[in-house]
Amino acid sequence: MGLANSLDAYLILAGVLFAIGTFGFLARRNAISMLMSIELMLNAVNLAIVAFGSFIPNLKADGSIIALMVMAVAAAEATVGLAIIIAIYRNRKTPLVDEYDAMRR
Amino acid sequence: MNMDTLIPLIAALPMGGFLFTAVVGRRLGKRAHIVPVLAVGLSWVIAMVVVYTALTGGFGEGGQTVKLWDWIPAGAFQVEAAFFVDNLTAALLIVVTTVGLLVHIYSIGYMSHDPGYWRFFAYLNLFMFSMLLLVLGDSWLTVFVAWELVGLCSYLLIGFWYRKNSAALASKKAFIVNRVGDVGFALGIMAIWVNTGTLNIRESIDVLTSHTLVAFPIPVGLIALLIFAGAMGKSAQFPLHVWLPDAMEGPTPVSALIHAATMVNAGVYLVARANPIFASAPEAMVVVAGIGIFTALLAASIALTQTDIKRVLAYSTLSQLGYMFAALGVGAWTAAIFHLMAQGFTKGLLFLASGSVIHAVHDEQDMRKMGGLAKKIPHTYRTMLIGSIGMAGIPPLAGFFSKDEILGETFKAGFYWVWAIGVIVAIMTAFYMFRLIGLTFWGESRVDKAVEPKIHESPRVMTLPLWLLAIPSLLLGLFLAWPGPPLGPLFGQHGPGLLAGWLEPVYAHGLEILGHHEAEFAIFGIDGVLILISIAVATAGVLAAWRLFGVEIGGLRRRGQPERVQALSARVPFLYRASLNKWWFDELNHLVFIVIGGRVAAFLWWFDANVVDGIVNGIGAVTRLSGGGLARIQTGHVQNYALGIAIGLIVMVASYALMVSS
Repeated sequence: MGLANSLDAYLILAGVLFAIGTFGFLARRNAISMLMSIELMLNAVNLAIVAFGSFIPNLKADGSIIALMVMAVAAAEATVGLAIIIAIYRNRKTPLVDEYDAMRR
Repeated sequence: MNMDTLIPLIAALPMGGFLFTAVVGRRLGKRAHIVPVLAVGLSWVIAMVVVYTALTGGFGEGGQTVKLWDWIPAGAFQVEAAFFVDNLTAALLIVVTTVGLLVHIYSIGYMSHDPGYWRFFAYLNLFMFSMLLLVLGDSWLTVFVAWELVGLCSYLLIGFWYRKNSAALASKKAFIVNRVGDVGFALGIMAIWVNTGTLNIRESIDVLTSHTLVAFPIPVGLIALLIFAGAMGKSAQFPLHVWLPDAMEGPTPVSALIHAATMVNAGVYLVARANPIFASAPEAMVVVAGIGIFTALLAASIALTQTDIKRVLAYSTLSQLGYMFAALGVGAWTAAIFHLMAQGFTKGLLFLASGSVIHAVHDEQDMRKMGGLAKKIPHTYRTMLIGSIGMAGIPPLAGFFSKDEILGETFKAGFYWVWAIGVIVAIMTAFYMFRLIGLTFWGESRVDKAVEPKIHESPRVMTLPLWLLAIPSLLLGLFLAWPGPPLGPLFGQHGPGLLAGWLEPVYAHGLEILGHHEAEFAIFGIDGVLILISIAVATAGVLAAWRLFGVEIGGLRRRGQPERVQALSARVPFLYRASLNKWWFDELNHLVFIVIGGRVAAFLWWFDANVVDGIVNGIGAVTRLSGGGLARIQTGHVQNYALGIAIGLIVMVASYALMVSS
């Protein structure tokens, strides 16, 4: 039996991916890396949703639709996020978030 | 026009006069009096029509209500703006509008040289409006608003010459002392609402007095005392009497109108209006009678030695108001209103006449600097003599009938102590009134040599109101107390005099509760004896005054004996000093409220500045410091916030997991 091709395996993979994404978001100082970490977290969630959809018959249709919507939102979020980062970069001449301290003042 | 328009017009006309004069009066100069006097004149005419209709039974037993609009429609709290006229209101309307009109006319002459001419008439009109509203109001709240308005007018008019420090202080004193009573009145009104759920005067009284089986949240006796507290303030009863003598700082027409004839009677009116409430609280009535007769005695004893002509009259007003409350307290409400009407006219006359005297001797109020004025100002002298005879209680003047009625009723009601004190006060009254006449008009002149040749009689516009007031002072008593023809049948009345007949429906409920039965009037029985005693004491007082202060009526001539006066007062030095210093009430108030109260206030101030402010400032400082410390957490770095979110999430998930697993 084992973990192969079971819901638990997918969920564990999704959890690991999410944890990596979280760690990346918290630890990386580069804004682009942080955005990528967010994408990783979103995709981890997406994986979990698709896994639910695949393994639980009741959720088959719902899982796919939600996954598609998450992708659309993730794309939109990436667009806006990148635009913001570029705007800040032009202003500050740095991609490092710990030098973005305008909120403090 | 029907009554629905006429009755509101009585109050609306003076209000119009006030608004007009307040807006454009300054530009009218010496013509500023025209509109106000016309407004009050018209108001008088309409009032007389209404009064006649009321007294001839045109409104029926219950009186006439004129509803204007819903004033406060707030759920269970419903107050209407409405007027109400019954025979009691009518009796008050006669005094208020008549004295008011005559005082307005008199003021044209008295105030003619004053730079605040227009302001004076504006205030007078505002006062007339307020007073009429007070008398006509149909709900406790209306009466209370009017109550405060007359207090405001009193304040404005006492302090009319506001550049004079004593006048400014006196107006403040009047206002503040009145507030003390008004707090009681306001509480009383609230208590009435709590008990009955209505502020309509008659409805609430009906509820308060009929459902004696149901226990009210607030006892009726307490309500009666609270209402009486309001009356004590406005009618200057002990211990709130201190403001009235000082109120004489105002112009004399004001003293006549507000502080003798109308406003100070508001308390008497209020208690008379609320008579069933008092009737169902006998303890409260004893308090009313006790305070009334005590005030009468106290004030009369002070009036004996005062040298300021207006102050003698002021204390005499106090004393007479005390009589009225004594009558109210023993259940002789008719006698109280009778005395109110008689005093309204007599006191109005005396004050206006004293104003004429003061005018004649160039603003001198000290009677020691008068004397021998009889021939120089004959109209003033004659009218003031009439007023004084009435005050002294010599028949057949109005003052005799009303005072005799009060004394007789107190005796017959079984309040012998009230009657005994009343008789003593009657002697004193006769004495100090003729002391006043003797010092002012008879004997040798003690006027300043510089002023002496300039003494002149007042202009006709001032003497005419005096004579017009002298007529009711002379005849009103006969008119109102005379039981037989031709007056009784004219108003469709028979029996115990006109006034008693008029007011009978107003008091029927109260008398029923009280269980009083109209005793048959017996001229050859107890009533005759009481009348004889009244006349005897009045005569004794007058004769004593003649003996000490002289007399000059026709062939009756006698010089005053200042030496004997001094010798007599030296024999009772304590009483003399007490009377001269008004029993030290001002000093007592100074001690209690200024010295001791000031200390308490100073301590409270210290407490406030150090303890309360210390706590408040301390909290502020702690907040500021802790805020400064916590501000460091806000680094502005996105990742720190993200870490916070992550940790929070982990904590939440972990605690949820713990809860599920356990």
